[in-house]
Order: sequence, then C-alpha cells, then structure tokens
Amino acid sequence: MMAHLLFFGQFSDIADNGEVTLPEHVTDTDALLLWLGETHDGFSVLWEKPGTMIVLNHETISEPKPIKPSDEIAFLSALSGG
Amino acid sequence: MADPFSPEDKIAAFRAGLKNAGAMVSFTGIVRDVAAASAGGNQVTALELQHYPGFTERQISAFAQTALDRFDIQDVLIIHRVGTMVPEDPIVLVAVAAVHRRAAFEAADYLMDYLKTSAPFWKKELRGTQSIWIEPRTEDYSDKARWSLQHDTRDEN
Repeated sequence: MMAHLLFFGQFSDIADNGEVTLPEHVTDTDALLLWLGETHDGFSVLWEKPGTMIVLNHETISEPKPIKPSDEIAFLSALSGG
Repeated sequence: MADPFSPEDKIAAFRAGLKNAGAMVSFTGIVRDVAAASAGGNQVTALELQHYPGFTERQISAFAQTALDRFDIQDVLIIHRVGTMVPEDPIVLVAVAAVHRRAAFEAADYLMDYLKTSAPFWKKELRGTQSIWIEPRTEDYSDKARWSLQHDTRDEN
C-alpha cells in the first residue's frame, strides 16, 4: 500500500517527505509509528517528546486510525509557533 | 507567503477596504538578530520557518474566524512568512479593524498569542554554523492561557 508521508519540524531532520510503499503489516497509524521507529534512527525518541502529533488527511488524530491507500500522514514535532 | 512583504503596503490595502471602521490595530513581528537570552543570546544569521501547506493556512483561518466570533471586530488580516528570512525581515503581520479600539487591540493580542503557540510552524535559527529548533517560551503559553479566563468584549467600548 502506498501512502504519502510528511515530516515537519525535528522529524524533518530524520526522515524525508514522499510517497512510500508500506509493508503489508502496516495497516494503521500505530503500526506505522512502530515501523518508522524501526527504520529511522531517533524517530521513536522524538515521537515520545511532548507536543508531537499525527495529522491524517489534514485532520489531527488522537487515537490509532486505519491507513487507506493514498492517505496523507504527517508527523509534527512540537510546534514552534509563528 | 514565501516572499518578503511590506507591512506598510499590506496595512494600507487592508485599510482601503474597510467601511465604517473607527479603529485599526496592527502588529508586525520582525526577525531578531540575537537569540533569546534563554537560548544563549547568540547572533542569529537567518531564520528558517517550515509550515504544512494547506493545513497551516486552514488553522490560521480558524483562528481568524474565532476572533471574528469572539470580539466585536469587523475584519482581520493575517500574513505570515515562511521559508528563509534574515534579521529585520517582517515575519508576521496581524491587523484588526473594529468600530471601537478595545476590541481591535484585544483581538490582535489574542491572534498573536494563538499564532505564537498553536499555529503549525516550525522555526529553526541559524547561529553561525549551528542550526537550532526553537520552541515556544513558557510566557507564550501563559499569554495564550489568559484568553480562557476572559470574557469577550462585545458590549464594551
């Protein structure tokens, strides 16, 4: 399954934006977090910091959600503000 | 917007479109050339501002709508730079028009507090060979918290 992953703030230091083919077992956002932690050094540590967020198709989510083909999933580190 | 802007030109255009406004308040934020004392006070050579295209604009529009609903104001203008800026560049402009001054002052203050803490932006200061991600100050959060304690000003002048 293809998904469009975006990384902002400190996440952008460790991962690149783009279309990604997800492994078969990555079917929801929790599994995606685990997979990113396995494939990107420092991702899990950064995810545990206060203020991090997942945005699924431009909606902030607070609980695991299924991933559908072509979903846009963004990982936001703590906001700096304007 | 990625390109530099002139706050004076934007304010003039905003003012030209107003009808029956008795007050207009504007705030311009400018890129500092020295980091905050809490961050070491080092010289800042540039500021990089990331945003989430589409999402950031929608969040800012929601802040503007909340201000229009909460305060007795007529119109709001918010312009925010993204990308790479250098010291003395304008980074943000907020302008608010109202019939009376107090609502305009308060709405501008409210909008800046939300922009400083809740707008999806990520700032990186370039200090010589170092680049440092910036997080909001504690004061920014306490400034924002004031608005959950206050009543609105619809019936006040």
